[in-house]
Amino acid sequence: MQRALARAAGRAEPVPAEAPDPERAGSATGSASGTAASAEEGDAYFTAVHDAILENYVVPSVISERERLYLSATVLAWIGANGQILKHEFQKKSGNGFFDQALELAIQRTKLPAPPADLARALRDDGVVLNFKP
Amino acid sequence: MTLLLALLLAADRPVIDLSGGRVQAYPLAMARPLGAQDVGVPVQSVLSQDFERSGLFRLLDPASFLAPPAEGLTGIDFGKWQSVGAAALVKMNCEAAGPDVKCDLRLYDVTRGQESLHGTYTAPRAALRQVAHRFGDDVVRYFTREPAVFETRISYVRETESGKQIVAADWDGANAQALTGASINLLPAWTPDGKTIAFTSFRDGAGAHIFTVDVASRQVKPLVLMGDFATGAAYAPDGLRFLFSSSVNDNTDVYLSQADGSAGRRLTDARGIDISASWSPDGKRIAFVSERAGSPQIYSMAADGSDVRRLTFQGNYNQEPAWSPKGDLIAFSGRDEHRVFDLYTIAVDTGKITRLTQNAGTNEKPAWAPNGRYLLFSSTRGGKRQLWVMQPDGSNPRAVTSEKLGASDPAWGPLPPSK
Repeated sequence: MQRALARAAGRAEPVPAEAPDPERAGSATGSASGTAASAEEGDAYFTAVHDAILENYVVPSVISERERLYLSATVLAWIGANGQILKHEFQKKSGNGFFDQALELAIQRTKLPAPPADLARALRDDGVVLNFKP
Repeated sequence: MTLLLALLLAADRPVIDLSGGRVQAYPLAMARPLGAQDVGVPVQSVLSQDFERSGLFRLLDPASFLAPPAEGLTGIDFGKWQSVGAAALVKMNCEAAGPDVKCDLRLYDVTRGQESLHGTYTAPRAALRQVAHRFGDDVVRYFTREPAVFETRISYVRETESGKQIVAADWDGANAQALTGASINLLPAWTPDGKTIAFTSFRDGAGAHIFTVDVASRQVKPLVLMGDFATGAAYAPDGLRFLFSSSVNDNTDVYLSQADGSAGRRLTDARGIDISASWSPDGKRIAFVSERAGSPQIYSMAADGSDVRRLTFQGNYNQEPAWSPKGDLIAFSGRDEHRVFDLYTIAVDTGKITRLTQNAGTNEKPAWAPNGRYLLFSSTRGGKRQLWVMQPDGSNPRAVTSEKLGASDPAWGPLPPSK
């Protein structure tokens, strides 16, 4: 999977080369393979998504420090053209109801900016994977 | 083919890693008690204090509540509680029943709109506080899946006009009871079963020796009468042995003895003082203070006295190590550049030192809660030396004692037996 936020999070992860997919081009006039400008735009957008969710990401103190060490959950979220989170579902729950509930709240409270045109369709149709750790 | 395509598309989804969410206390509403107010209000007051001291919960202001005060234990309008920001709700209905009181206490998950815990507690009227502590422990266990400490006891030294006496009290300082008279009595240490406290005393007029007091009967017995200086008992987690320090031929060393005081064996033999021993929770290692390098520093050694390692290198006066029940940290007090003692922890694995107190009087003698979630310590931050409790990162400090002449030397008792 593509680590969309590798740059934003300061982690260097290789981005696999992939063939252009005309079906996933952002707009009828956009480039299916993207450009340097659109890649930067995409990174900036995912950074904005990261920061907006983080703003609402609260870990309840009732979760023990020990449990915080190994908790993780994965949520798949679909984002509309206006930035609204259209729906979300847990791909993997953490096993701690309070943590999962906190993630639900974070997603419900998050207001995202509208995605750039060349990402809009993919984010609406395929969504984005959110990996949460405390 | 369609499934394969879906999997391929799924594999292409962008991934965002999120960590470092803000850790925040859980918003909890405590509804006005139903039933007998002279019973319910005190129970709620103790429970509120427990929750606030725990650092786990943020109690919401009752003035903001939208639900009617008479709302019952069922048929709750969770929307009204949700709209004031509550994630959890506590309700209670208490009644007097002859000499006893009976309280129906409930915890609700406001987000899910359902009851999470339900307990009925009957106790003598004099034990109202225990009703609150018991339900509080149940609530904490429900959330954290760890033991809770509201029903535990602490011990400390109370200053009096005529000396220092050993006292046992509830974890919040209530129900303090003197266990000894007031000669010079110091350094209480609980046995792991919570029935006995060992302490250092000058009561026999022949120097400092170690005695025990039975918490229930207050009967005092000698434990170590070795030489003219024996101090600082620390029981092994299994309760079968204890450590102490004794001075023989002007050299103070750490000794290991059977629980009855027999078969004392010297564990250290370095020049200079070796003192203030504290067991690791697995009983395999011992933290202690040694002056072998010229100034008091924290060291650790194997339980047989071998494999001595120096742990602190900063500062020239580090003392009073207390190994955490989780085993990962050793709390200690150290004198800083302003010649004031403050509390620190050292991570056992990495040696990383974290300062817990600063610019708040003199802070000494850290003692861990048996679940490792809190540190009890003495502090002069409020004027006279009193006991305070805080979380192991130094946050949420709360006063525990308000003794007229002061309190010091805290020791935290064990968890109550599982119910």
